[in-house]
Amino acid sequence: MDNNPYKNMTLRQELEARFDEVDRKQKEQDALDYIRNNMQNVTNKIEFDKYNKVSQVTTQQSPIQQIIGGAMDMVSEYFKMKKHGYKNLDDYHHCKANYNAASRGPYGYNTAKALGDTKEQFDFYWNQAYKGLSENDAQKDKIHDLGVNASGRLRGDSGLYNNAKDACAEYRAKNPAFPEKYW
Amino acid sequence: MHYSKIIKIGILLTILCLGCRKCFVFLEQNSCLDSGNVWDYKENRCRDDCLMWNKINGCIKMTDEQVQLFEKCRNKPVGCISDDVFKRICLQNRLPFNLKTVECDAEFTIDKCHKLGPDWIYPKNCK
Repeated sequence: MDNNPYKNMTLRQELEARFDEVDRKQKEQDALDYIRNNMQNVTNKIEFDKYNKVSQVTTQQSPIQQIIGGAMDMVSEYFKMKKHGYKNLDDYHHCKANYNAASRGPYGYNTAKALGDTKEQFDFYWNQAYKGLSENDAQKDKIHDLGVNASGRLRGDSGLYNNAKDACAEYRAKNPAFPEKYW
Repeated sequence: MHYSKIIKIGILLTILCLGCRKCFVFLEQNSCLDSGNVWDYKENRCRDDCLMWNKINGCIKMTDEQVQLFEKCRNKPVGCISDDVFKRICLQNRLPFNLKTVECDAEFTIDKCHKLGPDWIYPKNCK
């Protein structure tokens, strides 16, 4: 019996289908990693289920616009975090930056992932070399930040939220003194 | 000829050192913010005892107990720190506090006394 799903497709259709399959698997893996790192929070499981059912964001932006826009989202949110200077809001800004980049489309999503992962890898070494953290603590810190980044991206990609403020509200609540005008 | 070469190398090394220092401070700030703390731009250091820092009022300082509470609650779910703690931090730093939104106006100046709205409580220095 032949189970090849690409049997009746042209070469172009087969390639597109295979690329979509790889893309979907990567996102599922991303979501799984996120769940694994945040098992203590039950809402994450719900978010994971929703993520698998709801269609992805449809975007009007070109890949170049998404990549540049996504990178700009990350950089601008970093400078906002610096400017506002509120304690314990790093997770909120991480989430918001990733949300904004991912909601631009798949290229924005991947740009946010590449930049976020690179930064966390750098921080992993910096925390050990400069801050003197143990490898275990640096790893914990890295996993936590990667989890927050992934949650922002998944929320941005899901199309379930109206904006980053709503999507990342749970992280903002860590410092409720943060005024609404900066949200 | 010999001296001019030394001066050129000296200038180049100075620029390099300044560049490295700037880069180092940037990385230090980045690491500070990433661990949930705030950067004090006046004292040029990372601080864990400020609820926030801005140019107008500087560090909104917390007591040692409050710092410990924040440290304990850093990766805990929302609600670990009660609204009352925020209210106390805010008022002890002579800033107004919003009872509805739990907001603390860190950019408050004395001329804004009793002008923010009905949900705000003001510090004692507002008469």
